[in-house]
Amino acid sequence: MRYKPLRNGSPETRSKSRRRIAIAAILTGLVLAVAVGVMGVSQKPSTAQAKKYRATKEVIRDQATGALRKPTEAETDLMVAQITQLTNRSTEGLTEKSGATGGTLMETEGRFQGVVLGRAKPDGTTEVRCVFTMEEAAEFMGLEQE
Amino acid sequence: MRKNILNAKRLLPFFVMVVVLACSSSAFANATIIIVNANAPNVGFNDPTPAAPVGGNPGTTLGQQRLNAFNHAAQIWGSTLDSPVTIRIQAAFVPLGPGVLGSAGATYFVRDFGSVGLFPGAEYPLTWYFATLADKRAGTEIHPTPGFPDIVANFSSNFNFYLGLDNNHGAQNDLVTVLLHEFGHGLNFANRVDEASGTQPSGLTDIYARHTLDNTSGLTWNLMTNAQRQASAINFGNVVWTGANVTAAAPNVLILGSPEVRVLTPPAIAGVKQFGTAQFGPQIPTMPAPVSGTVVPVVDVDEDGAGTANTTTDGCTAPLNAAAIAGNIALVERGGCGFVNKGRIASEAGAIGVIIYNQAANAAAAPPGMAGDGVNDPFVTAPTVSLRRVDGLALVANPGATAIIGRNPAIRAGADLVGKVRLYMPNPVIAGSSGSHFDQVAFKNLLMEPNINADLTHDVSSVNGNDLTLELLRDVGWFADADNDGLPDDTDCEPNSNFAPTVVIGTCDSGVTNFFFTSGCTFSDLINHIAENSSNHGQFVSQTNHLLNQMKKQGLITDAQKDILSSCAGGAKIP
Repeated sequence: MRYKPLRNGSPETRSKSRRRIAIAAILTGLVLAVAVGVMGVSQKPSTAQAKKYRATKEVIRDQATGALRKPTEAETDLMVAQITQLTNRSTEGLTEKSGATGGTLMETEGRFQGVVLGRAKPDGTTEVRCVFTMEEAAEFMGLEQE
Repeated sequence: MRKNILNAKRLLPFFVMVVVLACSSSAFANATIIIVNANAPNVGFNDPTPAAPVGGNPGTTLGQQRLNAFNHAAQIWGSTLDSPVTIRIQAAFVPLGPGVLGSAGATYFVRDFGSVGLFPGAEYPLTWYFATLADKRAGTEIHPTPGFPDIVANFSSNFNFYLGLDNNHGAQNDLVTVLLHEFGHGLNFANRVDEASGTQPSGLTDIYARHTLDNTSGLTWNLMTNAQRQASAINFGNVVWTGANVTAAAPNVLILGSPEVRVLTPPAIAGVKQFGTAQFGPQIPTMPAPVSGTVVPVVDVDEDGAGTANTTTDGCTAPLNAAAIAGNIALVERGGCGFVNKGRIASEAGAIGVIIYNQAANAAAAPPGMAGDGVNDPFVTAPTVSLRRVDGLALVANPGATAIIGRNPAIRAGADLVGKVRLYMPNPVIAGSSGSHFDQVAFKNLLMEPNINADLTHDVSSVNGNDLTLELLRDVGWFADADNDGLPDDTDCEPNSNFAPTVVIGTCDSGVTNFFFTSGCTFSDLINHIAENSSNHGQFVSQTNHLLNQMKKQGLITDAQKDILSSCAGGAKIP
């Protein structure tokens, strides 16, 4: 069966595209849920809001081709969501409680984490950096805030 | 020679602190660090994918090798630090986003905690500690939920780490090194300050901030207002670590010759500038001599004709003013092509140095560290550095400005004028990373710099001239305590106490309780010290009986126990 090409893609390709977006969104959610689920010992939802970024540099090695490329929009969103959650340095909502032998403790609930980032280089190696904020991660990974 | 334990002044304060010594770990215990596998079956640490043993990692599945690498990093820290409380790291390998290789951090912070036995507790009131350090100083687990994890760590199951244990990682990234760095943060190599605002949780300082000194104001961070801390957090090159252990060890690790970029003229803009380093081209710490000359902005073609994607100042094509650049320092604007491309093009035009300054899009960013690409690197013959945009524009606005790129021979790479080690304080601030890393100008490269460099070893201390991480942890309170009795080794009557439940002399088990004293010695330690200091058996028996008489006099042992012990001493083949 042949379809006439349409300006914005055929019904079939548009449908596939929607499906891909839906699948990407679900995968993003699942991956984030898995990742965050094991991160917090007693994690509560964070109030940190992920800002929107776009990729400007080829820092990802494509697993299929081995070539460097920019992160896709879905990959960028996933990266930003994870880093924002982990590097949240707000104590808002964190409560103090008593220790077993006195003293006062405050659980971090998945915040205040150091995040290890890897930036792929043309020679096949990866430059690794430890960051504590989304802004630092964006600078390292070549992400620009939209 | 052992301390003279028969000195009356040392015996007088003897009193029984604890009769049963089970609370203390065995001698040479160090710290036990447990990796708590948080992965479900068949994934992460339990991934059954077959794998060939690599670099001393005997695992035969991917999951086993990952767990072995985690355990190896834990073992390195465990054999370096001392704590009577088990440290639990809840860990997993999960599918993280692209470029995100992992994360780790403390699960809780503690302040104003007490202690048991001889353990000192918190050194300062109203001061936050990370869980691991607080437990060590308390001598007991502080969290009300027994076994609550102290550190949480999650790493990417998508990334191909080197899983060998031998650091022979080649072009791969060594997982053990990355883990040593992240575990280091969890062990309290970090503050709790939000550097962007200068604020502290609950308005209280932390033990790391207490050792963070601003050379300009002369204040440590715990003594500052929020505004002062905020200003200090961007005081590049002027914030140092005050701890005595790091300062004492620095000469054993950091080479003389601090890398610097200094504008010489005109006076209006002269001075040392904040700069970023390149991983390609001549490395400033090992350059035989500095380079100095006139700073010449490059002029090249506008590749896209619109001055948008490319400009006439980006140095991405051969400079049109090559004659002026030859023998001088090329000034290039960031953007349009890779850092290393700019370095190569300027080098090939004859530049003796290259300065890349941030473009408008990065106007507020700190000078970046610059990686090579493995292709153009060998062609960069001029030392290449990056500057903030404001400093770059100042050079552009002052034609004929001169600068020097090199080392200050009077200062160690990564230290200040008096030898205190610099902390990473870029301008603008990078909350979290600012302050909680060593400065990236340190050389040799240190484990706790922001960039986890490929030349790091698995050695975390200065003993072999490799690193300063252990020394910083000592400064925040991880005192050496080989027998985990709560007394620092340098004040402990016996750093490696004998904690057997009863006193055994030679092969004779007296059945008498092996008391533990506030001096850090056990009853057995005292007798062992006598044995080590006696030149003959008669002297050993005499000195032991003298000790037993004092113990009896203080009511610590009965006549019958004294007789048994005396008999054991007499029959022992000591010395």
